[in-house]
This record gives sequence, C-alpha cells and structure tokens, in this order.
Amino acid sequence: MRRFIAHRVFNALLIDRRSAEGAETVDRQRRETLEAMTSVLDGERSLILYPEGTRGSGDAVQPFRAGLYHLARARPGVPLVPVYLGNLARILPKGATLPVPMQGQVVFGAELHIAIGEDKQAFLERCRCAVLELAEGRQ
Amino acid sequence: MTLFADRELVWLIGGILIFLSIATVVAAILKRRARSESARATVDNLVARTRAWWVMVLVFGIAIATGGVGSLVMFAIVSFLALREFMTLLPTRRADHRAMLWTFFLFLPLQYWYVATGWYGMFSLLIPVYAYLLLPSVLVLAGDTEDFLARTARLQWVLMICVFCVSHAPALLMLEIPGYQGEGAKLLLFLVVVTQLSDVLQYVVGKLFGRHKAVPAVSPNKTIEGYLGGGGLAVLIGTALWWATPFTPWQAALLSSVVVLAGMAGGLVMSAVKRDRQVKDFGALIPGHGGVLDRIDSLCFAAPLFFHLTRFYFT
Repeated sequence: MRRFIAHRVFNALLIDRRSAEGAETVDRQRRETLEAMTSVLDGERSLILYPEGTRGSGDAVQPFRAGLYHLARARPGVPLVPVYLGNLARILPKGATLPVPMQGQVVFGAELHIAIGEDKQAFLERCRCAVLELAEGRQ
Repeated sequence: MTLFADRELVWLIGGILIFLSIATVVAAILKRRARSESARATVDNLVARTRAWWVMVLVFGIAIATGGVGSLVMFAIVSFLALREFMTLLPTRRADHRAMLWTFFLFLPLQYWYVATGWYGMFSLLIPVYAYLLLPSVLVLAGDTEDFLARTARLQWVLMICVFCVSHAPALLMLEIPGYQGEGAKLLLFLVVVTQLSDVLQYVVGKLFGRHKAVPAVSPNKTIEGYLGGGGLAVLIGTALWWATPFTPWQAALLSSVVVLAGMAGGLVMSAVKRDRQVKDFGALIPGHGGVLDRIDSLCFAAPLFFHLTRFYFT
C-alpha cells in the first residue's frame, strides 16, 4: 500500500535513509543518493525536495539539510524554486492520522542558483531565508 | 419534479432569473462605459459578482428542485466550506487537532442528520449543549492549558456560526405550518432571497448614493445610505413576496425587517472577525465575492431568527 502510494500517486524517488556505519559505507550511500537524484534531473524531470528533512511543529522553518547543497553543486545549472507550504502542521500535525480539512497554502518564489564557490552554510541559509520570505509575504 | 407542480415556486424562481438577467445586462453596459481606472475595477468586480450569482442560483435552484434532500445536502456542504474557511483563520494549537476533527466529522454531519430526520429537540440541543460541553472536554484531555478558554470559545463559536446557524435555513423545510404543508421550499427561498437581495441592494445603493460611512472602524465600505436604502428596498421586496409564504403582507414586512436587520448585524460581526484576523475575505472560492462565508454572513444571523419566529407564531 505504502509502496503503491509512493510510486504511483506521488511518483516519489525512494532514498535509503537507514543510518550507515563506517566512513566508507556512509560515503557510498551519499554518492548513490546523489546519483539517483541527478539522474532524475538529467532526464529533464523536476525534483521536489523537502530540505528540512522531516516535519516540524510548524512554528518555524527548520535548518536545511546538506543534501540540497550537494545536489545544487552537482547540477548548478538547474534552477531551484523555493516553495512555502502554509498551514500544513495544523491540517495534519506530526503524529496525527486524520487531517482537518482546512485550507492549505502553496507559495512559489523566484528561482535561485548556487553561486560559484559559495559556502555550504551560507547557501543553505540563503535558501532557507528565501522560503521564510515567502512565509512572511503571504496574504 | 416537484419544482413545476407549484405555481408560486415557478414565479419565485422566474423572478430571480429575470432579476439576474437585468443585472447581467446592466453590468455589460456599465463595462462598456467605464473609463477611469477605479470605475473599471468596480465594474470588473460587478461583472464577476453577477457571473458568480448565476452559478450560485443554478446550484441553489437544483438543490430546491430536488426537494428536501437536495437542499439539505447543499447547506451541509455550505456549512462544511464555511467551517473550513473559518477554521483556517483561527490560531489553533497542536492539542486542538482532535476537537477540530470532531467539529468537521461528528457534529456537522450529526446536526444535518437531525435536520433530515426532523428531530427538533436534538437539532436545537446538539451544538449548544452537547458539543458545547464535549469540545472543552476533548480539549482538556489533550492536556494543553495554554490559552484554554479562548481556544475552547473559538471552536464553539465557529461551530455555532457555520453549522448550527446555517442549518436553520434547510430546517425551515421541517416546519409543519397549517395550510402550508410541503411548501417549505418557498419559505427557504423567501429567506434566502430577502437576505441576499438585502446584501446586493445595500451594495448597489451604497455604491450609487453612499456618502456617510456607517461604521468606518469595522467596515469602511458600509454607508448609512446603503443600509437604509438597500435594507428598505429588501423589506419592500420581501413584503411584495407575501403570496409565496404563509404570511399576510404585514407579517411578511415584519419578518423581512427582522431578516434584514439580523443580516446587517451578521455582515458587520463577520467583518469585525475578518478585521481581527487581518484578512480581507474568508476565502476565494466565489469570484468577486470572496469565500463562502463572505456570502452567507448575513444568512448565518438571519436564519435562526427567521426559523424560530416562524415556528413560534405559525406552527
């Protein structure tokens, strides 16, 4: 059931998130993940990334995980479009099974690119700020 | 279909269609003549509103034509959409989740179920008594006491407005008025026509002749001229429709006045709520109008009063 929804409904790219042990395996897992993502992009298709890595309480936008940076560096020509999803934590908070049928909100921003030689933290923070701006600018 | 069996009902619906056709033609003429930027914006909004009215009349017409069940389902959906819009604007916390689910999936269907089965006692008690006590109980079990009273009150309030009050409109169909059996659809149509015409005429008269702002702190577009002119005209039309109701002309005039005044109060209260939550409209579902709740704010206040006055004096 989960598999069907992930593949057919959301057209998701499944990623191995089991914590690997040993520097070598970690390295290999990261490489494979990145390759899986770049191959989608190379196929002229888009990827939707949730750079917070998990769902939060909805009070704040969590720090972004590094995967976004690695992907941006691997394909610097691909435009990154920041998207803010509003009201989701109220509709279906973490741990709840049934959603309250309230209105959600999707706000799109202007596309971003990674700068040449841009620092990892600086880039991730810049992306996060772009999303935060969308959150403040709505309504 | 029951729709064409009743002459008076045909006249009512025919009248609405004629009125709307005239409005459409007027809007088209105004659109040609609008020159200035602000006039054009107003006329564009007018055209969008008129267009949306056709859709709303069509939906409501189908609901009325399919008899009791259709009206009931339509108002249940209206309640659902209104609740959804209102709930979206509320500052709720994680602990409110379960109570919010109860309002949508328990109290709303149950309320309309009691309307459908004509169980007047439960229809009147479910939300003001049972939901009123159950909601804070559900909330307290979630264990979060922060802002508790306000959170409870908000949920109770939206449930009262969006479900309890709105359900009084289709509940008109369950009234058994001597000499008027099975004609409740006209009563419902009367209520909806008077409240909605009152809104429309207040808007039109206000736009044409409005000079003095009535309540600038709450709603800057409302004028004294709009209230008096639009409200007065709506009462006149309501009175002129007495033949479709179980009322005499004077009774129709009095009830129309109550409906119009309650509608004004409703519109104003909901404007204050929007202001409080810092939004212009409750939603964007109906082009030119805003959300469903923007369209039915006056009906929310008028329906319970109209229902109970009719029930008290005519059944």
